[in-house]
Parts: sequence; structure tokens; C-alpha cells
Amino acid sequence: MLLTIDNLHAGIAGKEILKGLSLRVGAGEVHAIMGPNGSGKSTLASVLAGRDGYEVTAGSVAFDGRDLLELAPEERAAAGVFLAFQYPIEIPGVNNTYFLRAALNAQRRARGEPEIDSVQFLRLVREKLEILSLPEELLKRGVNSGFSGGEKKRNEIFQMAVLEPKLAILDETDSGLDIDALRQVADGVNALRSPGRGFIVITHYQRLLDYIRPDHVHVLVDGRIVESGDHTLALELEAHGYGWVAERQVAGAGA
Amino acid sequence: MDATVLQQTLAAQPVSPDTGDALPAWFTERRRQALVALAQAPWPQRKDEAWKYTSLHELSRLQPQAVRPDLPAQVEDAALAFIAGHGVTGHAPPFMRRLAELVAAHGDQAGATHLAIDGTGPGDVFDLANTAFATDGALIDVPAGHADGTWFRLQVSGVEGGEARHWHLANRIELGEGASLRLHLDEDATSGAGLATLASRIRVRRGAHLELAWTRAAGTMAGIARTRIELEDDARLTLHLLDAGAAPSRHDLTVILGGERAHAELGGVFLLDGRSHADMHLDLRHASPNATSNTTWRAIANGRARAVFDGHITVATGADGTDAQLGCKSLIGTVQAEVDVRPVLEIYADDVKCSHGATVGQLDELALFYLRSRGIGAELARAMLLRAFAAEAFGERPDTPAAQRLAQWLEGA
Repeated sequence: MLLTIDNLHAGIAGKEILKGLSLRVGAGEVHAIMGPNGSGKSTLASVLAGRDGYEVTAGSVAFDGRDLLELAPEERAAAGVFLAFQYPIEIPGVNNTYFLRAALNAQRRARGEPEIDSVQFLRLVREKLEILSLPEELLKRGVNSGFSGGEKKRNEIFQMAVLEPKLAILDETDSGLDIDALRQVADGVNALRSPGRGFIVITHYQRLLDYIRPDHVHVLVDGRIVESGDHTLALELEAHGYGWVAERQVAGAGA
Repeated sequence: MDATVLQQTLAAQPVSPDTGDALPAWFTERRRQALVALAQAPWPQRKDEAWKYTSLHELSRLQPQAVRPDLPAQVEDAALAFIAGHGVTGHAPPFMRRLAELVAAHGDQAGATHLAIDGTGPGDVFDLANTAFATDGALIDVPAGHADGTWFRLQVSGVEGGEARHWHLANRIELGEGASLRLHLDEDATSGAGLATLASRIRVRRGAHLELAWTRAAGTMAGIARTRIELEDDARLTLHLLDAGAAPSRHDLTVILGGERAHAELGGVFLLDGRSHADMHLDLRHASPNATSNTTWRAIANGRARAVFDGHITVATGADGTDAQLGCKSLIGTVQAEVDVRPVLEIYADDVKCSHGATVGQLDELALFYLRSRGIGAELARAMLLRAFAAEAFGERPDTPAAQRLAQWLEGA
């Protein structure tokens, strides 16, 4: 199993948000996590990536045989975890190419692999740009600096393509995208699907899942996964709303 | 008030040190007078507005001695090199000489025009110390129309050693009409205690362009710089100043936009750690119509460091059509670090466009996390963000000497 989350309790500023979440993601699988606002979707992404300020109060996360929660964010990245941010950060003055090469080489160093030189890097980058049909111009600018919303999201997927993680977490990558940008992002993700790579696709809407067909769909409500199923669960949710799941829960509890 | 120990110590020293060169009589007399004035000059104190944030108390108690350093026979990597106030000529073009050469060669009034501190009055203790003791410095006279893309490096360093010392340099730089010059004034770190003064008078003639990169490595001496730059019609100045602070590093920079349509691009970065202290007092004067200036300062203060930026812009009567922008942003990394910023606009003309702004903040934690989430270690991530923050002062040009030095210092940190 690539990722095993067991009974995870976590929160921020003393407020518990994840209340016993469990999830197993195998290599090659795409898991979609859906849920209403405030259910803990983004908290899960932040906790997995190691963002400061989130406290884990109980439970465990094993990734590729290691205790993920013990690792610093950069160590998680080197181990193969990648988070595509819901709101990618603009960092003017840090060149996109320089940043990405520094990231790739830092990961390679951490794994004991040789660094790649600028010629090899450029070749790699061009190849990945082509897959995502992104203009090379983007690389000359500061990280996400002056990018449109769609460009920012595509840049996240581009970074993922270059860094080739074992586990990619997409945090509402579809938010704020028009239908064309959504399709480009989805095409990029689909191109990166492989037997060795797992995906957690966090989304509010079913729309993205029309393009990235998940193997499993989970519904997150109030910090817990309350329902799991195949891709048809997403369609049911779209048809009936999250209230439908809550009612089923109540009914289930009463039975 | 009585003279300080430092003033008494300096006043008791000979103005004609045994340099081996015979100094002309007028030169020695001028120095003698400066020394008399130095002994009587008031010592700058915290109650003086210009020294409110910078203490000279420790300096006032030192008894620094002049030094006679061992000079290298030749210098390979600089146009001119100065060690504790004494120069060696390296790979310098013909228009780039040293003051000591001139004084030795022309024991007459010819050198007086270069050495006189005209129009600024006798000055304070540090101006007087410079007048009394400086025997060398860069003497640059770029011929009209001369254009060269080369960066010429002037290296300024001190000497290693235990006891307190003092040394002084006087630079005179002039660009003829339509000339251009790229100059890197590269000050090495100082160790030990003492006083170093650096007085520079610069004139940029009509249509000329001076690019000056000035890097001051962290030091433990008191480094006092006095710089006056005058721009004629259509002249341009691009100044990139990087200062890692000293005990203290103080720079009084006067830029006079004396000619119409003159333009000054001033960028400065303080990169301070430990107990370093850097203090910039900028006196920017728009004296003619339609001149423009853009001042961008960035201060990074960690440890117990202190940064002071006093940016004073004066728009004189009749300087209509002035466009003057000034901005200073600071990042404070520790609770003990301090940044004092005071932008002042004084406007006596009509139809001017002026703005100033100052912000103080901390490194963006979310940006730091973003970089780390991609695998970049915390230390490098921090250095990358600091470099990006500071690079704004250098117009995001990565190729200038100041920008390159900034990158070196951050990566070494």
C-alpha cells in the first residue's frame, strides 16, 4: 500500500477538523475525495504535505513504509509526495526554471541520486511542457507571478510532471477554472497516470471527475469519510447533493 | 563639551605620516587646519536628529592608530585596490588614477581642485578626519563621450590586527559629457575596532551615465561614508548599494539632480545579522525641472541587527515636472532586530509627482512552505525568498555586481 491513513485526528489552533479519518491508496489508483465546505478536505491536504500550524492529535500516516508525519515538508517531497495547491503562491523574483531545477536537484540529492545539469533539465522541461501544451515563456517568469488562475493550476500540474512524485494530491485543482482550462489540467493529470503513481483528487464538484475518472470516490463529512464507492458515487452526489449522504448516515445509524 | 578620547587621539597624530612621498605644503597645511577643527568639533550624539538611531558611544572611546600596511607589488583583479587607505594601481584605464599619484606628481595647487571639499562647509568630525588624514583614493576622470561596458572594480580593504586603527580614503570621480562608466566599489569585511572614512565626490556631466555598484561587507569597525553625487542636464545615475552593516556602517548620501531631465535610479539593500548596524541618510535634491528619481530600499534584519533608513527628498522651487518615487520595505526576522525608516518629502515646486511608502513585515511563511513542499530545504528556501525580496532594489537584474554579491552572501548565510 502506497499510503495508509489510520484514524487521523488533526486540527488547527486547537480546533479539531479531522476526526478519525482513514484511507488507503494503492499505487496506480486514483482516489477522489468529495465533501462540502468545511468538511476537512484542505486540512487533509495540508497535513499530508506537512504545513506548519496543523497539529496531529491522534492516528498515523504511513507512506511507502515510512511514518510520513515524522518528515519535514522537503523530506516528504523527496520521498515522493506532491501537493498541487488550491491557491498556488506567487513568488515574484524567484525564476520559475531556477526554482524547479533547485527543487528537482534537492530531491535527487536527498535520495542519493546525481543532480541533473542545465542541459538535461531543459530537455526534460521541454518534453513535459509539450505534454501539457504550456508555453515555454512561462518558465522565464517568476514563480506563478502574474499568471492567470488557469496558468497557475497548469503550472502546478507541470511541476508535478517534472518532479514525478509517487503520490500526487490535487487540492481543488478545478476551482476557478473554465471548461477549457479544466480539460487541459485533466489531460495533464491523465498523462501522468501510471501503475506506480497514486492520486488523491480533492474536489467540490463532480465536474473534474468527468475528465479524470477515479477508481474510488470518498465522501468526507465533518472530518470523517462517511461513504466510499466507485465513480458512480460522484454522479449520485451530483444528483442528490451532500444532504443525501447525511440523511443516509442518519438512517444507517438508526438501523 | 570636551573632545572625546577618539578626537584627542586623532588630534595628537601627525598629519604627514611617513608615507615616503613628500607632500606639498598647501596639502599639509589644509590637513593641519582640519585636525585643529576636528579636536574642537562637537561629537555626534543620539540627541542630534541625524544620529537618533545610531550610537557612536563605543567609537568615541577608542584610541585608533594609523597603519602602514604591506602593499602587494601588483593587483590582478581590480582596477585600483586600497588597503587601509593606501592604494595600488591594478588594471586601470588611463583615466583612472589615484589621488596619491597626483599629489606626488604635482606638488602644487593642481591637486587642490580635486581635494577641496567645496560647497559643503567644513563638515563634522568625520569629514574633518577624512580631510586631515586621507592621502589616497580613486581619481577618475572619464573623457567626454567615452563609453565602455566593462565593470571596473575598486577594492577597498582593511588590515587584520588586534589594536584599534583608522584609515581614510577620498574619491573624486567625474564623467565627461556623454560618457558612461560602470564602477564597482567593493568594500571587504573589516575586523577589529576602529574608524574608516570614505569621502566621495562625484559629478556626472551632461548626458553622461554612471552605474555605481557599491558593496559593503559586514565589518566590526565604524565605517563612515560621505558621498555627494551631482547630475547635470540629461545625466543618469544608477546606484546599487548593498550593505551588510558594521559597528556602525553609516552612509550620508547626497544626490543632487542639478540638471534638467536628470534621472537617478537608487537601489539599496541592507542585509544585516548579528549585531550589525547600517544607517543610510539619503538627501535627494530635485533642483531642476523635469528630473526623475526612483528610490527602492530593502532592509533585512536578523539577530540583534539594526537598520536605519532616512530618505529625505527635497523638490526645490522651480523644479516643476519632478517625478520622485521612494519606497522602503523591510523584513524583520527576529524580535531583537530593529528597523527604523523615515521617509520625508519636502516640496517647494508645483506640478510634481512624488510618493513615498514604507512597510515592515516578516518572511511569507506560506511562500516558504510552497518552496519546501517542492523539496527545497528550509535554509535554501529562505535564502531564495530573501534574494527575491532584495533583488527588487536592483531592478531584478541578476547580472550586476551588487546582485551577484547579494546572491553570494545569501547562499553563504
